[in-house]
Amino acid sequence: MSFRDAVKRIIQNYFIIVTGVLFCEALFYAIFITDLDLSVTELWHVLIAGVFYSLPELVFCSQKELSKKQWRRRTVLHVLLLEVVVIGSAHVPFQWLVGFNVREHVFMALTVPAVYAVVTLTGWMRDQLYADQINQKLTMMQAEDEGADRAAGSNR
Amino acid sequence: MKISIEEIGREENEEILIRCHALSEEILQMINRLKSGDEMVIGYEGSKIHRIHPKDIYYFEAVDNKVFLYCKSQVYESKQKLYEIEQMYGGGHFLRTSKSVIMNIKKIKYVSPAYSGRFEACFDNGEKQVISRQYVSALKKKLMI
Repeated sequence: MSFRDAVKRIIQNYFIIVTGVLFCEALFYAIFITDLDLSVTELWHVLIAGVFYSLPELVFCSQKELSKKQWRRRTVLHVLLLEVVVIGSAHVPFQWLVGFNVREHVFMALTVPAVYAVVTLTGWMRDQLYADQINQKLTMMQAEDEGADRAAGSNR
Repeated sequence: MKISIEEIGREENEEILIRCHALSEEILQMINRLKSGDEMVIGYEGSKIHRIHPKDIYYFEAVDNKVFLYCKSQVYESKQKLYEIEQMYGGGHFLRTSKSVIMNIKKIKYVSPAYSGRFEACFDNGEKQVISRQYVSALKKKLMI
């Protein structure tokens, strides 16, 4: 992925992350903390968090096409960076986590690979659907070609 | 588009006449396809020069400023640039599938999802090549999906 493509993906991911976080937050507060008085600062936190969480995408930047092995290594690095960014930002700038509660940290650390797995699986399922459509067309095209070859053969 | 075929006498020259409102991209591609249909591609194998029919080519690949063309089991070098090949054969069954590869979609047996939103094309000779994410939409368009 070139730098330009990476920037495009970062911008795209930023909006997906912000929308996702806002949706989850709205759902969480609607169910569990109904009398919450949300401040503008909280909204700014979500907007800034979107920047932090989408920037690690830069690890996929490369002048040449990444091989399967390189892509796997960078995916692991991406997940690790996300862990650091998510847990780190929850502490220092946003103070979503105060002190060191093991359960909270373990939950947060597990959420990152879980969300990653869901997103990867969804993307793979979508790609499988595209592949099925493409394969269907390829089969039709090959059948048409075989028919045309047979017709040309019988005309000779 | 209406297609008319007129049978003519042996004494007359055969010709293809295109009647259109304007030379659209689609018509230009059709002309390129007609022009390149019988045109042979020159492939170099050491000091030997081969004339290869485009339909026998599986894919073109640029490696270290050289362009190679891959047939069922042979590999030849081409003196043409990848963009020239794309211009010449892009209207037909050839399609750019990554920065360095142009594939003959007629030779693809099937495609399957690969990693990072890419696809892998498996040719009927068993070879595999990656289709980059940004070229998947072009493939779908070519197959009219």
